Amino acid sequence: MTSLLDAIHADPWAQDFLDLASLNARASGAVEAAIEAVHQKARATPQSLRSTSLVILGPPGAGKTHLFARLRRRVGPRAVFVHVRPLVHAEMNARFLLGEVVRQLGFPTSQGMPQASALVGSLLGYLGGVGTEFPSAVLAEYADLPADVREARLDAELERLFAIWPEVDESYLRRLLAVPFATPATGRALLTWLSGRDCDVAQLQRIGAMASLGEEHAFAALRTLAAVAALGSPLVIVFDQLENLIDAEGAGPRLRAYAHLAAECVDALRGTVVVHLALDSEWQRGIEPAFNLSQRSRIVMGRELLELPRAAEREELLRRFYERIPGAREPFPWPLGERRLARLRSSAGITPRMLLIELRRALDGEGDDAAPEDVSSAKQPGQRTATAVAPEPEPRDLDGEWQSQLQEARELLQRAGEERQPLDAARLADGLFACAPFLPQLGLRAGGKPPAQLLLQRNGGSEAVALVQESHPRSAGALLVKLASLSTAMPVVAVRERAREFPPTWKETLRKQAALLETGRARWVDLEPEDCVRLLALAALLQAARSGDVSDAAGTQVTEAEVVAWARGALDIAEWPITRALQGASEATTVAPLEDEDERAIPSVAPASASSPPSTDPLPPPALEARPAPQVTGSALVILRRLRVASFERLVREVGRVEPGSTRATIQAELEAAGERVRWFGRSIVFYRSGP
Amino acid sequence: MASARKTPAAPVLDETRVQAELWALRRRLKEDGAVKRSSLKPKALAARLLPALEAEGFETSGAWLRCPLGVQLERALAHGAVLSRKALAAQVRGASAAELQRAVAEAERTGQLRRILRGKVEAWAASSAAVLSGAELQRLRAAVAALDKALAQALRKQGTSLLLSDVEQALAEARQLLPTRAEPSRSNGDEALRSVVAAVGAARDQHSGLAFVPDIVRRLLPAMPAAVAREMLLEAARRELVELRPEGGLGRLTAEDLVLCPPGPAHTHLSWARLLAGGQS
Repeated sequence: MTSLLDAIHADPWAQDFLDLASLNARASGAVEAAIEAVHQKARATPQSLRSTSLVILGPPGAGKTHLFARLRRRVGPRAVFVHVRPLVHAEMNARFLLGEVVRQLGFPTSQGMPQASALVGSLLGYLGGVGTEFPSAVLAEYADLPADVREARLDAELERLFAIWPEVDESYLRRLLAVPFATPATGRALLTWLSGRDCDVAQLQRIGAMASLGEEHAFAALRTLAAVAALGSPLVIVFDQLENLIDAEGAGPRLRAYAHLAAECVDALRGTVVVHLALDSEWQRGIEPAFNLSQRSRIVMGRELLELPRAAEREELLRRFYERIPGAREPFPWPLGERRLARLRSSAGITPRMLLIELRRALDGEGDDAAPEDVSSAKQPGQRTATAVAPEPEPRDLDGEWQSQLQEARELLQRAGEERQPLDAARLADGLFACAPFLPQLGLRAGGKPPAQLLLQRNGGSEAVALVQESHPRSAGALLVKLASLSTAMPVVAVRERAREFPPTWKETLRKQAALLETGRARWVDLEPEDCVRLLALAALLQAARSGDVSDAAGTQVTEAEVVAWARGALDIAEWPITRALQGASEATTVAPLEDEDERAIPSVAPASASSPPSTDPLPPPALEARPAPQVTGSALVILRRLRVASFERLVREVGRVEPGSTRATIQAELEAAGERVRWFGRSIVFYRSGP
Repeated sequence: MASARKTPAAPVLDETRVQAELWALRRRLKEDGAVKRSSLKPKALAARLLPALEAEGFETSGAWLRCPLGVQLERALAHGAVLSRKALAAQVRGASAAELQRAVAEAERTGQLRRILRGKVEAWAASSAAVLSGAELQRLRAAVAALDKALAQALRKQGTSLLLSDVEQALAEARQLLPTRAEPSRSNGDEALRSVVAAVGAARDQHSGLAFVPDIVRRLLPAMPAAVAREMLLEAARRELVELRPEGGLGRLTAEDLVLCPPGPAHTHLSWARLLAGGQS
């Protein structure tokens, strides 16, 4: 279970949810009204369906991502929700958006059914004239039919759909309608194909396709998807953390590409609700001024500001947080106290996140640090100027935040492994790009032209960095040929997950790989699983930092500069195997060309310059894994028994006072050894069970 | 062949333009306190504007056209501000140091300003500030001196002390000598709040409804010092007339803007404001 008190930053897909309906009712009401308008128009005049675009703005911690979670719960299967965070290294395009939309069709609605099923069930309900309210009942009826009868009925429904919109893509639609009735493996293959990602041979065979959906079909696929969804469960595409589109020098190509894509979605997709979430200050001064008039009129059809909670709402929110404290010792306003509560009610600029942080700090036994405005209000007005200057930044403890990002990335990697899918090349490229500020000796920058994603400047020259994540031997081979051609113009670094090494049966692909490396102007870098995790976590951490969504161990918001400074000191990024591989040619591999295509792809001993198979020498394990096992010290359990419930951070502090030699690892080990005596709520609150 | 330089013909000034410029200039003078005379162009226009504004009571001095110094001093010290010489000079525009010194001395003489000591620093307050008269200073000094003497004797004679009740009584007597503080005028505070709310309304972006706090404070500067404006913004937020919002944190605020923003919780700066229903009514 993830405790709400553990989650300072909202999870858009959280199942455990705490909401205060009156807060920002206007903003969520605007989106709900837009969805309802699509429903009504779909019933009356579907041909006249158009898309709506709303901008919702607020400061960090005001509840932008929470709004997404609220809408998911309220609207349930009556809409398909898609949460898109922008790419950092490259421009967002239709293919990326299609990938995100279809990937999230696999996510559950608040009622538990996958969004793809809700979409198809609502559509079939609409076409069958039974309404869109009960998609699961409609799907159950179809599922009970014999396969051939079901096929015939689906064909008939398709014909009715073509009568409404003759322009939809039939092959795309057939596969979309098949998703809820497919076996899990076929369902995954269908979603992979629908998302425009590269399908492997087995997946293509399962779904009876000759090839993956090409990039040129991405926007047509989006149009089909949006049109059919509009009849039952319209698409709600929510672009979040848009401030990450702003480059250091202002409005760059990424921001322009986003504006173009968003305006095109509004123009060309039917019945879609597009929502743009951003920091109010950045939207005002950095994002909207970059739009031309045409884009502005399409993107900013409506604008809502997220409200900060008023005094009464603050107290109500705190009460609701309090109700989630396991084993609360005293009645509310414990653990805050009356004075602290009064301050939180009256201070200006308090966000819901700040309230949660204050409650956590109070729970940890930390005293009330009066807000600067309260402290300074005792001074004379003339003295206030000095207090307006930001205090000297202190080193922040972001280890908890980093571990949380690592955990999320590991879960993503595990899910991809279970589904036999490669990680998204664009997100991995984001991760590599995120390393750039920490590798001053390497000029790693965006702007690589396809097939390369990034440009690496090293030893006075440039190299094109390309992620080779293709699943099908033909696509991988085609990419390798393109890279070989590119290598005549500039050296190439090809990067691929080690977990997705080319199998020996891909002889042609291996031959092309060897040909690429034989040029002498290409390096091959295998990406270790732990490196994948780190890259994804680093990219996510830096994006969250830009959006003001990173907090230190004390719960205080940390600026982007502080996060970068912490990462520079704590993560030793230059020593990660992937960054070391990018820095030096010695760790990369060149492969000997295969003599005979029919030969098994196990190369013989290669000369010094051209060694064997398409993989690197094993790299040393990361330093994180080389640590000795922690020693259990013995005080943590005694202290936890006294505290009964505490955050792990507080426990570490308390034990540290008694045993200065203790570490987080020793305390963690001791708690784990205590078995059922110790329970966890999420990853940060720990609880001592006194019962038998 | 030598070219003959032609003097450009003086532009024709129609009355509508002169009136529009006059209106804009009055507004600038009200907001900024002073404008450079060289900014009034063309010369023909300046020749029309300056006599008209002087006739209205605005002053010209050297390179500046300004609000009368007395008015600027009054505005700077409105709403209970107490300013040192340096801070006062920063609030007054269009005057040399000597002119300002003369104006301050004149204002002191006429009772418009009060010169006070805060520690060792001389400062000025408006005539409405609660201060002690000469006689009150004398009486208080005598009362405190008696207590000071008793304290010194007790310390000198080893082993002796004073009864707490005696000290309390002496302090109470001294306190009784203080003049009763006039209750701050509620109407003055309300008026300031109203002007703050009006400034938020005037500075807000029509599309988003947000107003940039440094812009609000700058609008209020002619009427009150920045520190008071910030304080009044916080008060308006406490009364739920205005919502103050923290800056996103991407480092867009300049140092000049930063000092005009009230500090918020968790080291934030409150850089945006929005009118609430209470402030709109």
